Amino acid sequence: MAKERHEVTYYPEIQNFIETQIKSNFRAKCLRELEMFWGIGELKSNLQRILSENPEKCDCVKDFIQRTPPLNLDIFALVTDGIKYELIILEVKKMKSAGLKEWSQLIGYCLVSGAKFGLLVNIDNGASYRLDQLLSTEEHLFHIRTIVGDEIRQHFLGFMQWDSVSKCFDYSNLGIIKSLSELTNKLISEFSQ
Amino acid sequence: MDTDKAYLLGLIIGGGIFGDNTNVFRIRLPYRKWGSYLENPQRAGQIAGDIFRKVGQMFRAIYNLTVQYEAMPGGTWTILCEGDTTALRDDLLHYGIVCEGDLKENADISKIIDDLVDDNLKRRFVAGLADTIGSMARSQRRFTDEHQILSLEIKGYNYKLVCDLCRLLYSINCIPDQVNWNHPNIHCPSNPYYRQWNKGFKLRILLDQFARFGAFAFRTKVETANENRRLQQQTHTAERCETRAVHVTPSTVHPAENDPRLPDEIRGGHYIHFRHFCAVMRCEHAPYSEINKYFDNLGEIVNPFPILCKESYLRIEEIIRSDDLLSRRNYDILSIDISSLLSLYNDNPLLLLFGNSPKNGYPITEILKAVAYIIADDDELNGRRPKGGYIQIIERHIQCTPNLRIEFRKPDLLTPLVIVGNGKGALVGAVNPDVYERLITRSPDNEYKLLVRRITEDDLRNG
Repeated sequence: MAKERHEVTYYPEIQNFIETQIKSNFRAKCLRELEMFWGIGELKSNLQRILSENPEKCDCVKDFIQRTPPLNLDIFALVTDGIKYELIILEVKKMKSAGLKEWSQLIGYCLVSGAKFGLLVNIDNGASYRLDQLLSTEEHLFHIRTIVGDEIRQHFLGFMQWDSVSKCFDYSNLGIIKSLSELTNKLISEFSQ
Repeated sequence: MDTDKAYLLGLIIGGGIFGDNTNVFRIRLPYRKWGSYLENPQRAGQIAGDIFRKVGQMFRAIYNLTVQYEAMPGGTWTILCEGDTTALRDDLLHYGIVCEGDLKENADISKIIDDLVDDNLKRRFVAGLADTIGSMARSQRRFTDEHQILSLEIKGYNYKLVCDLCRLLYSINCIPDQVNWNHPNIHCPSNPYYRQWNKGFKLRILLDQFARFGAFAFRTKVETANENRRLQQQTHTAERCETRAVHVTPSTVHPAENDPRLPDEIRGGHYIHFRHFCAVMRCEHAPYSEINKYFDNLGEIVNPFPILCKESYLRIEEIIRSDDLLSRRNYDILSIDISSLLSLYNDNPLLLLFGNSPKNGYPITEILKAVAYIIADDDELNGRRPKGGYIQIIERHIQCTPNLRIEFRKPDLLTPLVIVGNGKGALVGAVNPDVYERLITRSPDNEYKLLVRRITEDDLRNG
């Protein structure tokens, strides 16, 4: 019998797929390149590592690293065009159905880190009935606006299913980020502001 | 363009059918036996899951369309896409694709391809096509299980679509192993009286190559690809078209070479190999020098007569009656001992019989194929094909009846030899390179397009 794979072993293929799609979409729409850097685990130390490895490309994230608190994440991506940056947080699960607890975890990570984009990813499975219902009706659970000091922050969240056989995402239409092309569109609008 | 639209466009080009109702269109998945719920209910359940999870959710996310499906017992699935299709139609129109009927019959995908600006976008488009028209039935293999194939199957006469698609695949290293063009020279190269030549295009890619450089989104397709690849002992890589050797076998001139449904570029030409089409369509990857080599000996590889035509006796008589050149011949009726024919073949399988020079006559191999067909019992044939080898059929029958004889009708000129018996008949065309060579010219518009004029009695008399 095949050994059950741990969720961590799926991280590279999920990262790779997301990065490839976002870069392709950015290339097709803006005819220029984006850089994506990945970290697994603690946010602050990983960002410091990324900055030290890519000082020119990631200079814009320097201030953010100083003020961000230590935070343990599954995966995050730093997306930058060298001038601006955005963070995407991935909360990856491998469970029969991902529920409100997992969604709450993603919300918490996005609020604490200030990441604008968050994806809850369940490997080969979907959302629980209750989460499905909530994300179909309660917009404030996936398009979150917070006021931090005098800054208004927005967080855009989505739920997707990773198909480990075909190695691509199955969309769920839950949340505000319904597809990777929509995620790219939001990134493009952030980078063009 | 984006990666999701690229996938959906692949699905739509592969199977999209549009009618008058602007709030609905269909995507036809011609899965046949592979997707039949009668043949394989478990797989059918997985296909339904793929349609809902992948196609349905993506159409909803990108175009806000809802999806239903219908499965036929024969294995054809139809995805029904409903809602306001304006945005989708606008996207297609942007790429010059008019939403009418079966899109792949007329679609020009060159503008879509222009927008697939990197390999990943190309791969997503190819995944959409492979999910709809990519066949991995057990018969999709090269000779044995060792070379598993993905065959993109396209009905109709849209040569440009197939050519564009082939180039697109090539650009991401999914180098096609073979392209079966929808043309009589490909689908019936030896019998000009066979009318069912339009069997569609088949763009065949080694499954290993596709697994490495291509993509599927349907889980069912990935699983089948993995199952089929497990039948192989080794991993195979494709050879580049430019340098791949071309092996040409003789082909007959078929009347449907002039079929009005064929595009101008192709119609009226005779094609000696599937890669010859690539040269005529000026593909940058065509093996021009390999094709050119054969142009020095065209009389040996182009035959204006059937190479072998196996029919009922009555149909053979009808064919002869309806052709002036054949009906005006005087035929010598010969009763030929089959054992002696077999001995001649064993001595020299390349032997030509009844010729008037060492270079012409009827090839013994084709004669024996005809003999085997005629003497075979019903249970020794699959339709008109021998079960097992034709030589084995002949040997079996000679063993039972050592003096077995068969009727040959030998014409006074080198028109086809007629072989009859058991209510069946066959025509075997002569090899006659010096005469046939004179029938062939090159098109003034395209140096690779071969034009073959009708053969006349004078050609044969002066040969």
